[in-house]
Amino acid sequence: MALTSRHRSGSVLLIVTGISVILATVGLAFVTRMRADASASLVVVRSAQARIMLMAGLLYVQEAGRIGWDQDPAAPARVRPDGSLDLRSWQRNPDETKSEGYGWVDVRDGFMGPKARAYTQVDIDAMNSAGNFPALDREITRLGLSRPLTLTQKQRWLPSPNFAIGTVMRSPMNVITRPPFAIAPVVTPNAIRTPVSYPAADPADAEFGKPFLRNPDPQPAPMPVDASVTVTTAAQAYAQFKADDPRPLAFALAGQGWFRVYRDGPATFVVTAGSGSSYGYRDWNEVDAFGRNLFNNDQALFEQTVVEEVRLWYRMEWSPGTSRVSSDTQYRGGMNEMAQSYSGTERADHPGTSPSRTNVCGTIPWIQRLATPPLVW
Amino acid sequence: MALGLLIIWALYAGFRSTMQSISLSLALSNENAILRHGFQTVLDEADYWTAYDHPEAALPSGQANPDPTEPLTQGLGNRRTADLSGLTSWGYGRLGVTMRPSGGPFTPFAQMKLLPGDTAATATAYATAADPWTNGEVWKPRRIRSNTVPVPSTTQAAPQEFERGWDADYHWSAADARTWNWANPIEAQFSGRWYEGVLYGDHRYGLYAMFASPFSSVLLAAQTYAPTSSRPSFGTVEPLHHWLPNQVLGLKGSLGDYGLYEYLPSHVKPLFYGVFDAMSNSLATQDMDLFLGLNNYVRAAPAASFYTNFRLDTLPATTFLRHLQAVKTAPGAGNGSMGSNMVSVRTEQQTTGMFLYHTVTRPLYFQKPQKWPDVTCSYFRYIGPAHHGMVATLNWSSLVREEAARIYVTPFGTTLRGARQQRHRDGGWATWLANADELRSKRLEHQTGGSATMWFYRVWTGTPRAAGSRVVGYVIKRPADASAATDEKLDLVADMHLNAGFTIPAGGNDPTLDDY
Repeated sequence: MALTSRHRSGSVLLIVTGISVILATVGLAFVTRMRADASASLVVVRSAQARIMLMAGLLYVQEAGRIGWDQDPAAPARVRPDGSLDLRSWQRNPDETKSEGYGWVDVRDGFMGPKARAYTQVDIDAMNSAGNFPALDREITRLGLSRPLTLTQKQRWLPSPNFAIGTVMRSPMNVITRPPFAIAPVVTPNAIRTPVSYPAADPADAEFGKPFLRNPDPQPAPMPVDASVTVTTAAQAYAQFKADDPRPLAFALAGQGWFRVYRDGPATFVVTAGSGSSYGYRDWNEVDAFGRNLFNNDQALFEQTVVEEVRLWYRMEWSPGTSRVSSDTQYRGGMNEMAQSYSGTERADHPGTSPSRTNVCGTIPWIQRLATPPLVW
Repeated sequence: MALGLLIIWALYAGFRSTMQSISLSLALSNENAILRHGFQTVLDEADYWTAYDHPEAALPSGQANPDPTEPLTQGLGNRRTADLSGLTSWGYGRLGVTMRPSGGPFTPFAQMKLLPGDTAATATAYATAADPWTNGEVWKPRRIRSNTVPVPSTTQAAPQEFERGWDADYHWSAADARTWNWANPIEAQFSGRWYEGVLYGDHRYGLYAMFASPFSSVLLAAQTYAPTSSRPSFGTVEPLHHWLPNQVLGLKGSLGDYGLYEYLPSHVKPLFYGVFDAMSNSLATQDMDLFLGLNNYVRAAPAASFYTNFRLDTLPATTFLRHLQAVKTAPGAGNGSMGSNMVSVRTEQQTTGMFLYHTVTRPLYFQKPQKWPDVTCSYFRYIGPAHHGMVATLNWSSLVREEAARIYVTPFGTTLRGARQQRHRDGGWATWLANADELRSKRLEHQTGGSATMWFYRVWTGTPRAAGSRVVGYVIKRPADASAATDEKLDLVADMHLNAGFTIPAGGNDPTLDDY
């Protein structure tokens, strides 16, 4: 039978169909492989993100030794030797002032911190009597100690008023709907009034071109966190300003990092760095009502996220030292605060003024990866 | 016919290209997997330091160090102890006494043993002498709470200044004055140096050695520096601070420079007032100079009698080269000129460089299919301004793609001290609170013997080992010490396990404790 043009057309169709099938097969193979590679690469991404969370945890330790603490409102009024109460600092409104801490081991008195006020000799003497420092009394009872205590004992066993040994904090790093103390995204609350400013003012206006500091800068976010609250007083406004809305934003639900910090000694911590969607909850028993809502109250869902995420445990120590460590510095500029090197050797007769790269939050002397999770973290 | 052949050819070509494409995609995917493995290996190395010190004594066949001349990659090579035990002159300056050889970054504190020839009597003397240095002992690591040198009854210094050795639980509180730097650097600038035609060595800017010294008692006698300078006698003084200089010396002696920089808190300068009298060429009680940075103003040999600076002690060049690796110029006995001075300085710098500037390269796979890419991981650790650092390089050459490439990774993880805490003192890994064996694990930071022994207990919910009773925590206790209150024997590390409500009464016979 002779081949007609119809037959040839059918052959071309057959070839095209075959090639299409081949292309589809190759494409499917590629896509399948890419999908597998992408899944495998997720571990790499999460490993990297977990280490970023490690740094975040270390930075938290550094900063939390200094800032972010209230005035220890739970501490009792201090009793002076004459029996009167010393209300200094202890009884202040916790919202009135955010106190500055002086390190996890307080650089002023050697007691555990962070805390606002250094213990004076009056305080240290008062520790010899029960009732003045209930936290120390509890430790004495728990450990079976007996008074009088040495200064070293007091420093070892008086818990810090903030973040005492045994405290765990969890910090999911997803973007939340609104942080506490949110600031309005207003760049120029006191813009100089011009014809194009808001509100506008033409040159004939008395306020044209004049800088007024009429509004606070920065400004609190205007919207109340709780829409059901009608803000009528300054206290209510402040409460709304202080409150947050911790619900995660939708776009931040996937691939989020988190860290946890557990204080296991005066200056040592277990930092758990994670990358995944567990929000840093250790297990289902720890998941609170807010978290259970995030997981649709589904324990299996939570545990699946735990299986898929990366968790790394590290132990580290905080140091109050704030200079810098460097072999090169020790060699050439070891005395850099006092006599900066200019030619490779210390020359006190050529003192420089270049300061060391100091910081105000202490340093991390060492970090240790824990191959297995510790008992408490 | 022709059309049929065309169809067959097209199908063949299509099938062949399909197979090639799939094969290539698999190969490339496999490469990606290998690179991911390399990346994870780099991260593991950042955390576990196995390229520098493999805690497993016996590596699998084929994984041993391919270059036996490189101590750094010899697994336990960084734990050098025995191979230095025969050296008697390697120290921190010429002190006129037998000095301890320097350990390595992974040398267990417990392995810093006495020098050859030491006897039990001298060992006892070391432990009890007011100044261990005078007995040739720089620093015998031990727990300090029950191992202090005797405190003279007449001393003005605080008792804690007499503590010696490394205490891992001491946090160098800034409130503790013994952690402060007590030195005046300007003294070093002019001590024993010619400057604009005048020899300065008269301590015209003060003599801080009277405040801080490795010794608890020093004689600061009158000094005359030819031709024009002199210094009056300060008499015998008892410096108020001598704990920190001993920490600096001890850490350097036990761990070398990298370990020293790692262990000292960042605010501490490795400086102290040392002792060297070039005139008598011996351990002198006549002069005290500031010894900066462990290597400043070192002199290869005290050719000029008036020099009072310090020097690196002479170490046999072959040994030096063998152990310190990065030495480019052998440290000879120079004549005090700047040239040989710089040689010594450079050498000491490279003692640090042994660890800091040495790149360790390991293949990712010791055995692999031929067509897999060749992948190597190179690690470069250093201590830079205000931070520890590591740069890793992942190199690969691909037969499939006929290319060679590399990526750089700067991972962040465990520091040297953390790595030391990961390792068992006697080899292998120490574990962290994962099981009972962990608590028996002594790490490189731990010491042994005598009162340095710590006791480990399991805390049970009921009667130890009884049916239904389970271990809920661990407690580290130190042995009884008549000089310390009982509660101080409780280690704070244990405290975190007690917060769950378990209590430990004072004393060592708690029924809920199971000693083992």
